[in-house]
Parts: sequence; structure tokens; C-alpha cells
Amino acid sequence: MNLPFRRGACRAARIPIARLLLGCLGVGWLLIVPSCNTVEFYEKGALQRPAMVFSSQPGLSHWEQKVFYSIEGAAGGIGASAGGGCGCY
Amino acid sequence: MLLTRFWPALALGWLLLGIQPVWAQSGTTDPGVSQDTDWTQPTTETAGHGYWAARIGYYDKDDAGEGNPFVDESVTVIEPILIYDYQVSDTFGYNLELSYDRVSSASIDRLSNFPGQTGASGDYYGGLKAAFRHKMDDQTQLDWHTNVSFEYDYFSVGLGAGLTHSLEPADATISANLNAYFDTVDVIRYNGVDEGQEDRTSIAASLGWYQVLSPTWHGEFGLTLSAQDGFLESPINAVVVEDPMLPPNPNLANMARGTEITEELPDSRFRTALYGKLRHSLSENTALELGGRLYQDDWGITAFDFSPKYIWERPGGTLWEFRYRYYSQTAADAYQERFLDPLNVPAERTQDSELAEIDSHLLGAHVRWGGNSQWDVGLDYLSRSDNLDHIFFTVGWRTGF
Repeated sequence: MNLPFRRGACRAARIPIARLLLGCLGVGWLLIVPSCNTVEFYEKGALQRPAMVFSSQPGLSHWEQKVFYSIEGAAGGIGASAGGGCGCY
Repeated sequence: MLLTRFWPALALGWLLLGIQPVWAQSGTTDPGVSQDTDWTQPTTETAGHGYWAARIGYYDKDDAGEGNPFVDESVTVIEPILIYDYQVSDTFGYNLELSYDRVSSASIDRLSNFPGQTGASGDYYGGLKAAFRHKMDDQTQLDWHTNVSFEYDYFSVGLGAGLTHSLEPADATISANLNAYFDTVDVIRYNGVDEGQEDRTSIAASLGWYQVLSPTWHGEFGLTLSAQDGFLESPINAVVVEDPMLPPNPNLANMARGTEITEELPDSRFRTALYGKLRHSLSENTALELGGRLYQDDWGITAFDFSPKYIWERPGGTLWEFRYRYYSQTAADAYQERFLDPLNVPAERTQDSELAEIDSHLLGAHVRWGGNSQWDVGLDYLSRSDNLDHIFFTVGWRTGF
């Protein structure tokens, strides 16, 4: 079946940045829809338990960032920065 | 190619993963992943209190003739880190971080064979970072930092700032960060030739979102865009152009018949990383985390990782974390495993195995224990498709005052 938008859609799908933007939109949607419901403060006890706390030990993200950035081609997403400021071995 | 083909499926998987909490709970939702969560939530330190922390990291990569066959890529790094954090008042605190790496690598060791580089039997990295936080009001915090770092052939100055804002009714926290690094690279080539200094500028902007999704789910999402300009090659890297007419080259690990020439890469790079993690409380003392990252840059690398983690709090407060991480990347456009035509060497070229098509599996465990004084120990083993396997070990200590 030849849909009028088929060619354009396939072309867009071949462009990685378009997929990334699509992913961003999906993520945005994920963020917005859930926030319509709030959790009451008395329901948040489980989120404060040690097993649920996100914060890492001091220096751990610095170490992991350095290790992964120096052995992989990708950078960003581990720690708050991406590129620069650290050496590559 | 494989990665490109599966990208839509991955995105769909992410969407489904994120939707699940909404279906499963009567109340809330959430997304999320960024390996470093410190910057997405305001600190809640008490004035006059703080902590000392120390960490030692150990990293070893063994090269048994795999990866780039022309060079020995073995590396061992030991890094001590010292951290001091103090909350001066209800609205102001600071954090100082001092780090030092001792690097022992075959590639640097090789430099000592050349005149003028006899001190290059090992490398070091030193870094000092000072970070400051200002509480603007009950919901907003301003952070800024400056840092310097230096190596045998490298000097860097960094500046950064970020805003974190809590959206109380929405159970969310948003953050925005901007970091800039100004580097100077001493271009010492693989053959010991010093070509002088080159500059490199890196700017990274990050957006983060923390969200409580339900009484048992919460998570974080982040997007980082970074742009680099200047000298982006590793000067010590060479590319081997093979020629069967030449005699075996004693400078090459495999004595191949070929000539070494410089690695050449573009002078700019733009990277995009989208990441998040979700954590779900399974019971009173166990939790499951699902993390991941999508990455793309204009050097041709597309990558993703997926990292589930199981967290288990033992009676007495000991916290165990068991993690797995799968990572996959495509090769950079300039990468070739072999260069076989001396008359047609590409203008942009590299044989750096970190820019090759690789995937890896990481298995690790991390344990933390203690009260006001805490210890943690972590061990990870990474198995890579090119057989350049890695071992990471870290031990940390922190005491509050």
C-alpha cells in the first residue's frame, strides 16, 4: 500500500537524530503524564528507605565517569558533564 | 547497523517500561536515569555539619594481543580521591575534591624509548575541584564550581553552574547545568615528537528531571548536549599503514610490516546523551533499578547502554548492590581496523579501539555499611567483544561531623 507519507516517514527513520528527538518526545510524554497524579507525603515512606535512595557515595560518580569515558566512545550521562576536563589513558 | 535497526524497538521498550508504573499504581509515575543523581536534587545539609570522604579506585585493562593488534593497550590506573564537604550556613555550603591518578600504560611507556621523552615511563593526572551551593529559597538551589586538572601532556580549567528547582505539588525536581572546559594539550606524538601546544574547548549543557511516580516508584531523566572544538585526537595514537614490501616494524607489538602515521580526527564534535533510571521498591528492604542511556555524536558513534541493578538492605543496615550493564556502540566514521592501501590513506583516520564497534557486558557488586562513618567496596568485571576486558575496584570511606 502506498501511503502518501510513507516515503517521508521512512526517510526520517533513517536519520538517527530524528529518532533521538522522537525519543526525547517520548520521554517528555512519560514525564508529563505521570505527574498528573501526586503522591501524598504520608505515602512516600518507601522512597526514603536506603535501598531506594539514589544518591551515590562521594567520589563514586567521579570515578565511574572517568573509567567509562576513557574506555568507550560515548560520553555524557554519567556525572553532570561530558567531554573535557579529564584525561584519556 | 544492528543498533540502528533496533533503536525504535528500544525506544518503545523504554516507553513501555515507563508506562508500567502508571498502570500498576493508583497514583503516580516516573521515569529516569542518570548515573549521577547528586545534581538533580537540592542538598539538605545542616549548618555547621559536613563530611570527610576518601576513595581509592583501581582500574586494569589487560591486552592479550586483542583490540588494536599493532599496540599494547594495557593500562593500570590507581586513583585516590579526597573530599571535604561543609555546610557553612542554612543557605550556603561547599565541597572540595582533590584527585590524583597514577597511570601505568604500555603506550606511554613506549614513549620513553624516544629521545626527549625519557620521563614518560608513566603518566599522572591531578585534579582539584571546588563546588559551592547556595539555597535561594525553599525550592531553588544554585550550584557552581570551578576545577583545574593536569597531566603529563595536558592542562584543563573548568567552570560550571546549575540551578535546581523543586516542583512541590508535582513531586518533581528539575535542574539545568552548564559546564565549560578549556584545555591545553601538549601534542607529543607516538614517536616522541613534540609538536607544541593545541587548545580544546568543551561546553556541555544538561537538563535533569527527578519525579516521584508512585509510593514505590521514582526516577530521573537527563539530557546532555556537549560541543567540543579544537584538538580532539589522542596525540599518542598512531595509525599503521600496512605494506607487505616493508620489513617487520620493531615498534609495533605484532611486528607487522607497516609504517606508523598520525591519527587524524575532526576538530569538532557534538554529542547528545539521553539517560534515565527508574527505581522500584520491591519490599521493605529490596529495590530494583532500571537504567539506560542513548547516545549519538557527529563522529558517527551511536551507543546505548542498559543497566539493571538489584539493591538489598540487610538487617543492620548493610546495603548490597548487584548490577549488570550492557553497552553497545557503532564505530566512528574515521575508524578502520586495518589500512592496507598506502596510496589511499583517508584524511581522517584512527585505529583507536575505543572508537571501534564494540559491545560489553559488565557484572559488579557494591556493598556499603556503617553509620556516621561509612565504608563501601565495589568490584566490577567488564567483558568486551574485542577481548579487551577490564577490572574495576573501588573502596570508599566517609565520616560525618
